[in-house]
Amino acid sequence: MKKLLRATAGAAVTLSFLGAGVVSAQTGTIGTTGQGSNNQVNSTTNTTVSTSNGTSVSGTNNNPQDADSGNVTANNNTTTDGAASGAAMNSSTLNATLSVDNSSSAAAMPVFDGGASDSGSINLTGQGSTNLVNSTHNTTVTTNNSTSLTFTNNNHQDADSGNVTQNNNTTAGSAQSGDASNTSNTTINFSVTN
Amino acid sequence: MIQPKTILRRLLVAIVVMIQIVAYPAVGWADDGTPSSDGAGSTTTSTTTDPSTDPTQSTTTTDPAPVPPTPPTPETPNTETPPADDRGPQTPAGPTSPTGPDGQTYQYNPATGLWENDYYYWNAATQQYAPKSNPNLVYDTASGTWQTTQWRFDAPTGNYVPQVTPAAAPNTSRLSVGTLGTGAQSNNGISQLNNLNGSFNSNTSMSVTNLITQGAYTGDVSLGQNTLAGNARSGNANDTANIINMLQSSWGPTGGDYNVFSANLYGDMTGDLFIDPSALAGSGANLNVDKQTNANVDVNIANDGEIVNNVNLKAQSGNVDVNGNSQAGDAESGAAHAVGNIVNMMNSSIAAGQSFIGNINIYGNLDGDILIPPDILQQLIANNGPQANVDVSQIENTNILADLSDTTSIVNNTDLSAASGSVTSNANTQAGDATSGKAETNLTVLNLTGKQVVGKDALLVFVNVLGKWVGVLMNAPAGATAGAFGDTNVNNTTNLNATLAAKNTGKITNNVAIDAQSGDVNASNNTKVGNARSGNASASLNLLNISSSELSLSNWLGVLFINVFGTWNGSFGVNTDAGNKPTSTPTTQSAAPATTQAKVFRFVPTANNKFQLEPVTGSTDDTTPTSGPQVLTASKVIGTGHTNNNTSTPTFSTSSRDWTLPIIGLFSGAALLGFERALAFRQRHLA
Repeated sequence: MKKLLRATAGAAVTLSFLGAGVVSAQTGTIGTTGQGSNNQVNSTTNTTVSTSNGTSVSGTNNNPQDADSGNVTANNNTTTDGAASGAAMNSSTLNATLSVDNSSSAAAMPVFDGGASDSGSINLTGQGSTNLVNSTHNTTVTTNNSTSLTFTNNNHQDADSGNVTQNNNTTAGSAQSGDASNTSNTTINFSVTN
Repeated sequence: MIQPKTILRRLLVAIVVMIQIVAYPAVGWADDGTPSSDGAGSTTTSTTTDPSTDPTQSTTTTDPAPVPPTPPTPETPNTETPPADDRGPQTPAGPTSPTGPDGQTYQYNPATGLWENDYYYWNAATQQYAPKSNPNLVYDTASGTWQTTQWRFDAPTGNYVPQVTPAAAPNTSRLSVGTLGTGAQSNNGISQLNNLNGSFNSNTSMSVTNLITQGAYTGDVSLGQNTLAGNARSGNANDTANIINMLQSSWGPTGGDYNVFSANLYGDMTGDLFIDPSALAGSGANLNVDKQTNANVDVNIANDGEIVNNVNLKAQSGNVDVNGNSQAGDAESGAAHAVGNIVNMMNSSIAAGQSFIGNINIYGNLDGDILIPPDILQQLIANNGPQANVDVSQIENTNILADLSDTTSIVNNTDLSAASGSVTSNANTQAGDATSGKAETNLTVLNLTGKQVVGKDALLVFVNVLGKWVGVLMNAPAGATAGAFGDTNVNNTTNLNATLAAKNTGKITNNVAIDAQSGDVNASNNTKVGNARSGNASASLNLLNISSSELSLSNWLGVLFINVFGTWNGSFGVNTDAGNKPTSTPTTQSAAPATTQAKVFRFVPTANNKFQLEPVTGSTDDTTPTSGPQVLTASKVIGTGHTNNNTSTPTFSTSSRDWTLPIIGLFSGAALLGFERALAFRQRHLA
């Protein structure tokens, strides 16, 4: 809910910031009209601003990791001290941030100011005359933002420590295969600001 | 003894002093020469005129009206007592030109026959001054000074400064309207119409797919047909995947990236682990949300987010084969552990000055507590309150017309499997024990949906104990293995004027398969062989889903995963005796097994956030046959006991025997017997 309200506020900011370029000053004056005359000053400004932002971002991370330690074989010996295969380890860290910010285009849009400097005056009108000064501002602002973000992370880790074999020895030490470990840290952050 | 003379002298001095005190007023009157009187005599001829005093409040003078001071000349500004414009009556036979400090400023004007400067006339005939213009003095009660139309008293500088007439306020109205001289029965109108049609459309589609496949395999070990062979052991296999997905979410925008730490502790641990979030770098952070009121604005927002996690983790230790040896050592396959920690955030925000994600893996048994600084913990608990969902209907002072649709689906397809290897011990002439390892799976899920947390600190804790946990998660409901600490407030947004149609569709799918398997062990056809044991296997998943939530924390947020792959004797956030060294050693201790004599209790959380002690006996600890003696050591328990708030403090007793008296008796008896024998020997020889 908070997110939606914030988005609304952001959109409202967009529309209220309709930039300084469209501010118009309209002045209407009716003076010294004749008796029973009909005098009108009508002024209309139409402003239409449309902004469209289409953004499509796609990312793929392919991270294959393979760690293998070799096999160990000690056969047919009189004496062996022992046989051990090494450790196999994989570690990966991915930080992916996809951010789209359309707020700059909104800030560049003209600001609606409601006819800030309009003025109208009617002076010395005739008896029974009709005198009207009308000012109309029509402003239409449309913002369309379309954003598509896609990210695929393919992380493959394989760690294999080798086999250990001791056969047919008179005296053989310990036999141990190594450790195998995989660690992956993935952080993906999508952010869109309109 | 005081002498009578002394008493008399002191008495005399006291009488003299009393006489002086009593007689003093009379002396004062005599000096003044004015008798005292009350009331009627109070109307004196005082001429005091305080320019800073409102004359309407002056009651101590008989002047009909105060003589207002005139503003000073710019060259000689006065402070609080402007000079009088009337300098009082002058003697006609006085000087022929103005005197005083400003006398040089006057010049004689033959046309008027007066001495003049810029501000005053001076009449030599009357010896009086007169101002050139009427100052129109006005008393300002606010400043307590006299003001004129040309001068005003400026309190900060203490001077009179020229009056500056403020300019007319600018016309700030958006529409200037003027009518002048309209005719009779005329119809006149001035109108302004502003039409603003605003439309904001946002379509956002976000998709994250994680395909994570990890496999850790340790090699097989084979010992065969050896005359004399040592141990055979396959290595350990560990798989860990940490995944954080944030869609249209933010974490710590002001504090920068969060801190991530991971600690792997191998082997058995004794002692407390201490975590201090305040030691994290970074400054406090604050989160501000702008509010704005708009009219005639249509906002259409559509957010589609999808998170798919396809995670496959497998850890497998190798097989061990000891076969056909004359003599061989132990045969043991390694442990296999696979852990997945996944955090999914959608349409949520976390603002914190400092954040950390910690992962502590303890590959063994832990005898001790995991602690954070007491002040931080107490602050967390003190501010902890019920969380609440935001109800749109409860928003006040809002004329928002909104069509809100927030749909979030969370699908968790989890498949956790753990299997320890088989153990075969066959056809051996002499063989040790054959033991299969433990196999454990643990799934912990914490969902935060529609939560708004505003506070200073917060901590999310996941506890994953594959063995037996003897302890408590501070302030968590009974039986919980995950908890959220922190204070909670619900903020309503007000004064919105907009038409809003927002549709959020979020989908989180977690397809997680975790498999851990320790290798098989085969010890067969040996003349003599040691123990055969397969390793432990564990598959764990900690899953946190945050949707449509907001955490605003000025200080720090912590997410802590605690994975204990053995047995944990201790607590999180509660400093118990676990892990402490015994303060005293029992004087004598029998060699009997500790678990058969000591009574050990564990903390069990209750519904009212308190704890009860529950006895743990050796007979009930059947799930951890190998770790029991290590954790429940008699020396520790007996030495310190458990200290907690529970009234049923356990007591412990031992059945050891005191041999002091028998030994003394034995030595005494021996000595007597020896003495008696010596006497008998002597008597015999003498005889």
